Amino acid sequence: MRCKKVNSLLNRHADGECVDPVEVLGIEEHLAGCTACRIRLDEIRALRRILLRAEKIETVPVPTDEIMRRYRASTRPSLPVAASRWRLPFDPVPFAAVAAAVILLAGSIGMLGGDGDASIGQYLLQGMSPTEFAYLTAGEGAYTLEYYVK
Amino acid sequence: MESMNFRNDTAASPMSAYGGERVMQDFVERYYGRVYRLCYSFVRDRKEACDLAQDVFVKLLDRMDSFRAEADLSTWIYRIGVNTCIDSLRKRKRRAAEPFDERYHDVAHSDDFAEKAAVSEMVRDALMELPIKYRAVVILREFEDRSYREIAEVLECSVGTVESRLYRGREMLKRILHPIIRGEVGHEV
Repeated sequence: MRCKKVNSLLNRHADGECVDPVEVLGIEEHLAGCTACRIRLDEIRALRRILLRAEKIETVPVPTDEIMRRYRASTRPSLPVAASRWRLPFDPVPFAAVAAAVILLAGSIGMLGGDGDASIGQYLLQGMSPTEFAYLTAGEGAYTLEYYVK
Repeated sequence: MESMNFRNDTAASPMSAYGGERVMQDFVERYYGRVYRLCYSFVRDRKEACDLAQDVFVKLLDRMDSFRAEADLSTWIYRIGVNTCIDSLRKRKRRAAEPFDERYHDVAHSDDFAEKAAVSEMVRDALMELPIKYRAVVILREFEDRSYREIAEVLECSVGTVESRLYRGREMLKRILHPIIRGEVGHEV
């Protein structure tokens, strides 16, 4: 083997990664007669020792609770803001608005209605606000929709 | 040197985490020190290494479902650990430091410098001078005692690439640490 070839294999040789016995033998024979390559190999080995000596890392406490807290936080599903608002029992306005829209739609297609005089949609359009509608249809003793229309 | 040799370590398999949080906590306590050391090797800062190690474990716990039983546990942990460190280093602004030679001129040229604690710091800083892709290979080889094949699996590259990066990384370190290496080689003669 020539110096160039051996030089390309020196790291592998120093790391014990040369598995081919013929290759190992070729390197060893070359090293026996080449001071320059021997020095290169010594430098690699010296570098490895120096790195290991410098690598003194102190032990640290294991922050298990913090890791588990962060893990739980990362996996907990969060409720959308809009969805959580619908759970508030004392804020009927958004509910009333949607309910009114539904009633309007239903009324406009004739699903609801009194005696044929006017649909509930038309009635609501004549002046009842969503809040008023919600008041009438919410809570104990509220009017039923049908009663109110009649 | 202790490293993450947990092949065949069935008790530590993330799959067993299906047993509940207690098993997850055991997993964290069992491997935190090693993951912390890996992170510290990359960033050389205790607080940053702690933060990174926590990030790594949150990812490990979160991705347990994706871990395949036939895969190597250490490779899986190293891969997430190394990638987390590399991502962090890439985001970090490159520090404006004085040239390495000027910083350690006195240390390298003092008598008996190999005995000084400053040499350790010099070596650690030399490692930080390496480009990340070389540093990752050097850390896995020198401090974690991984084979070329294992490093290739962790970094998802070829063995030839590992060999090439290790060669270049060591050549750079040899140039930076030349005075110390010369002293070390001289000592053994």
